[in-house]
Amino acid sequence: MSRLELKHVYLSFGGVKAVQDFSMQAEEGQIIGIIGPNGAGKTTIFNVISGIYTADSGQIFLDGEEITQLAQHRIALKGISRTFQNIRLFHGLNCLENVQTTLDASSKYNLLDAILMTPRRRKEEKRTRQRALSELEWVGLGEYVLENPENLSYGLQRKLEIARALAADPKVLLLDEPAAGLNPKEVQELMKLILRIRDERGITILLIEHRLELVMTVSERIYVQDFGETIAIGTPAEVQNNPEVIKAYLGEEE
Amino acid sequence: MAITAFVQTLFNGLAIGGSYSLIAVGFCLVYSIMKFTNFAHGSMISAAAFVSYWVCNRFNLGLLGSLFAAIAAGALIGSITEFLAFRRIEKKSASNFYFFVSSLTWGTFVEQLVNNGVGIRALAFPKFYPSLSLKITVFGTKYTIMTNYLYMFVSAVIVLGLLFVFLYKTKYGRAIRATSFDRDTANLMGINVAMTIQIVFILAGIMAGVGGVFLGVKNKIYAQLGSDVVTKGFISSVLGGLGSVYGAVIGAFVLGVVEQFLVYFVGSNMARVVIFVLMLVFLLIRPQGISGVMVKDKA
Repeated sequence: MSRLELKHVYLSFGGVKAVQDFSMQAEEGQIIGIIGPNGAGKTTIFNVISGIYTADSGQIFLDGEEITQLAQHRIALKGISRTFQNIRLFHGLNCLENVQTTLDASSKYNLLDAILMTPRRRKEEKRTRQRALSELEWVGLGEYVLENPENLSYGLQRKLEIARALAADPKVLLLDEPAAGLNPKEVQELMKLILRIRDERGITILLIEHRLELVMTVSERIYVQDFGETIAIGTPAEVQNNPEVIKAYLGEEE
Repeated sequence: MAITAFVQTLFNGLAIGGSYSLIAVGFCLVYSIMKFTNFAHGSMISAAAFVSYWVCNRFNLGLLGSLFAAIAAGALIGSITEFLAFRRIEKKSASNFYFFVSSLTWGTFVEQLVNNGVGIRALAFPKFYPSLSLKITVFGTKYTIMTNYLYMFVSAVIVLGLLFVFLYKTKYGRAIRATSFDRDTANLMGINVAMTIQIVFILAGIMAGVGGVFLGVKNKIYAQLGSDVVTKGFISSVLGGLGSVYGAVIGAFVLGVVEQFLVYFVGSNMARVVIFVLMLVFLLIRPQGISGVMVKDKA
């Protein structure tokens, strides 16, 4: 039984076939890369997995349990977290609070506790706060706890988004172009962080990325998408030498 | 302007500003999370004040009892307003125009209900205070302040304080702030958006209720009590910077103080004119408000 399995997933928007017959398996602690030109349907695959869109047909399984039709917050609670291509942090909430929002779903106090400021609220707030703090320190944001995300550099905002996703203790982490807009040094740091997530926490990672130096280094297996279809699957070395892939990336020769 | 008059006018302004702030903050919270202007906000004030008046008379309650009645009524009216007037439109993610019409219709309906309940003559709360004004001596100078204003100011500060604790120290507060910034991402983080919106309306109703009682004591209770003051709440939240809760509070106190000084210098009739002229000028010069947050309306 695979950690995450997609079977023949299709999704169209009107006449546009965004995802056609996409199947994949990811095991515990694997890093899977998804690459392809813009408009290849990569982010759409993430949106189908995380429940923002529901597949027209096909099935998605997490640890053998079907999650195809679940609402997005249910899928998040089942153990799939994600980051976004265009960073989507909550402005007006500091770094700590951004991470805490993920933990609040599991925080065991109710509205009455919140209004009456009961010890239960205090205890649970302390717990989520501690946990959020330790996630921030784990990704290396220990000194920016009370800073608002809009004041952080791009690289740090990426880390914060990852910390927020990790706070949910996910089984699967979907990273949508985490290296976009980062400088070479930040890409190196991100690479280390991604490997640590796999090695120290055993989380399965799906990685959409245009920066080939990153995706080729960390991925165990790569899916190459073009116009909604999978045109190649293989190890980084296999994919790089695949004529179909070269054609999709460099265009057809005259 | 003598120092005594100055201090008294300043205090009156802060007290009135306190009641505006309760309205402005409620209005602002709803605006932030729904991205539309709730024209039914005024009706919540009138309705909560009326229910509180009724309960107060029925059970012979004092000020504190009436305030609690108003809080309960406000919470209930707020949640009913959200459920009946907006939830279905929200689910269909309809155009802003429907929110506009729905809030106006609902507001008029509630106001009409209150009108039928009140009857021809405005109602007055029973006498809550042993004396209408208090004499206070500070540094050898005697000041006379209205008892109602003192309670109004103190209550507003307490309610605002509690609100800020709720917003910044509880998961529900975080959910409100996160959802106001980005609803889709909030949903994805496991935040229950529908419940969060419901809580915002309840909070707005509670604050409208507290404000309504003091305004009821000040101006008597009639159906248009809310809509007469809600404009001041709107203005306050724009003055402070639409969408910013801090801004709404600051805007409300600034508005209250400026208004009272205008009353002192040009009389209450002219003050009503001048305050709106000032407001228009301010909007032209600095539409982003004091706090500088410029919010784009839902397309």
